[in-house]
Amino acid sequence: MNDLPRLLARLLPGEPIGIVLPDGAAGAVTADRLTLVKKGRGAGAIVRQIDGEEFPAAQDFAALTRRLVASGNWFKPHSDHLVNLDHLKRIQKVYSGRYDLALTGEAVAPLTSTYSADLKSRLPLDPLDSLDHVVPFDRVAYWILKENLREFEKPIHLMTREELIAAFGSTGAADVIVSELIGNFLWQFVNRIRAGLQAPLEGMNVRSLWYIVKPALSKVNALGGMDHYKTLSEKLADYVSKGMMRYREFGLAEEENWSIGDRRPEIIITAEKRAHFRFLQSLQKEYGVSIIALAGKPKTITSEYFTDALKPKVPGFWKKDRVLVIALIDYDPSGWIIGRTFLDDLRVFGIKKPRLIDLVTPANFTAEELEAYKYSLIKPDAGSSEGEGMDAGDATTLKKWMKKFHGVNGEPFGLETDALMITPEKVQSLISQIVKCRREYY
Amino acid sequence: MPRKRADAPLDNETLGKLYALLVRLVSPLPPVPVQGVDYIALIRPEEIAFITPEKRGVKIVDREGKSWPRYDNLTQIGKRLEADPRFFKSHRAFLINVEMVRGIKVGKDAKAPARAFFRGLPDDLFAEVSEDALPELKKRLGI
Repeated sequence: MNDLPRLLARLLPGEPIGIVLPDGAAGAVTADRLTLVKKGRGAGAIVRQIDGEEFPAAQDFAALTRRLVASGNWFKPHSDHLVNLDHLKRIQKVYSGRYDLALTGEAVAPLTSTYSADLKSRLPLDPLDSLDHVVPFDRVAYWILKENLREFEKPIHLMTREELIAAFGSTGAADVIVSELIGNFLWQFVNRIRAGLQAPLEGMNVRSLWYIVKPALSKVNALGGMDHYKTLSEKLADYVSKGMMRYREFGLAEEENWSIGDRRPEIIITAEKRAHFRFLQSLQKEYGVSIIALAGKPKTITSEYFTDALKPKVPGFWKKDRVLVIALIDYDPSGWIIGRTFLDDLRVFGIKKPRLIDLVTPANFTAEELEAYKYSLIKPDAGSSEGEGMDAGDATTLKKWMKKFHGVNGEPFGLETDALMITPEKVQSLISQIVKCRREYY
Repeated sequence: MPRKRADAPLDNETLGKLYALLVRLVSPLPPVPVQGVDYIALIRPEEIAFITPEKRGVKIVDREGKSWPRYDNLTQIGKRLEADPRFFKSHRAFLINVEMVRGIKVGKDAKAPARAFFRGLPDDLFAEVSEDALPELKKRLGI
């Protein structure tokens, strides 16, 4: 019965707050009927009732704040706002560290980072909770919710036009929300495989999945305009990286431009270009390392299959620096993105802390070679300075890359991998030094 | 028998009754945080109709029939709410708010268990009531 005063406080009307009515007359409203107080003109205050109606307060904002905070479940989430926590309905993330507090009667107050720790201590949240999500947290379940993935008895690819519109209908110009339809198709398809209701597409590829759902998109006139094969392949890669499904569950095949080493599997030599795969094979033969040719930006399916094969061969693969990646990747912004994506993929599939050594870097060239092989990262028809005349995305990436790597002698120049590969014995020697210096774990 | 003075302090029995009455109106527990898309919603225990497991967690159905996910199990959420007498485990898969029950339909046999229906919710949003729990639920509902 210790909480008797608190129960009574919730049921009894709060203290009266003086307000100014529209005709200028003085009025009063009890504090329990208020959701929000905000700073008005000058030092004044505006109070908001649970029905959404607002009135100027008779007291100023500072005096009202002192009085309400002392009297009950009121909280200051922002320098100009005060909220009644008894009416708090939801905490909505706006961006990192900034939230909106939604209250009864559609009132909204901002919550700034200055006050968020204080609010957390006032709410019934787990000590581990951030204000972003509740604990326990299930990442996959969260994405199911966010992507609006639902259960349908009938396979989505067999649905009629009417059924598709009923399930994924859009209020906009299109008949359906295509990305939602495709997301649900993938989710249903993998769950049907898991339940034994659908055979995996052994040896087929992502395009095979596309051909299965394409007729359904045709029924709802969604094949014109955007390339929705891209939507499907991106959605699939996204769901795989979120841990919701695996390519292997679909039975999909991939090119296998990789091989796991038999003596030093924890050392991965990666090349950006498919053409370098035979060279990688010669390195593997000599040093017993793992190899992978990325053929451009790494494909999630390749990273999944590669790491699935690698992990059983590398005990403690999740440990810091246990896995080493030696990269034969262009020294330019695109190469930087490719390398970073590959490392991110390794992390997604469980190799949490890989270390990267770039071989194509100015340090591995003589001054004469640098002068001969460097190429400008500024397009010929663009301006003279870095980023000028380029599209905004490229310019931003180049600026970030220059800040991190400083180009060649501080100028926006890059180096192709082939500039190093012209002298394969140099690459051999560099790799030999790294492999020999590297501690053997096994 | 001498009458008590009007300003005499309340005895424990009266206080207990008063407390029980207040608890029927508002829960003694804080709201339950649930996960929304990019937000946390706070559901007051007295606004919950029933809770049942679903894939990857539990589903909390509120008095408006809205479903909210939490990624824990029925035992954990039951422990969180055990200090609130309005909650009752009617079935191994259902924790119900007795204050919101508007009726029970008794099943024909063990294979078709009894069902509890809730004020303001349609008949397809029901909770199951096991044979073992039925007498206690009836008692609590005064039937």
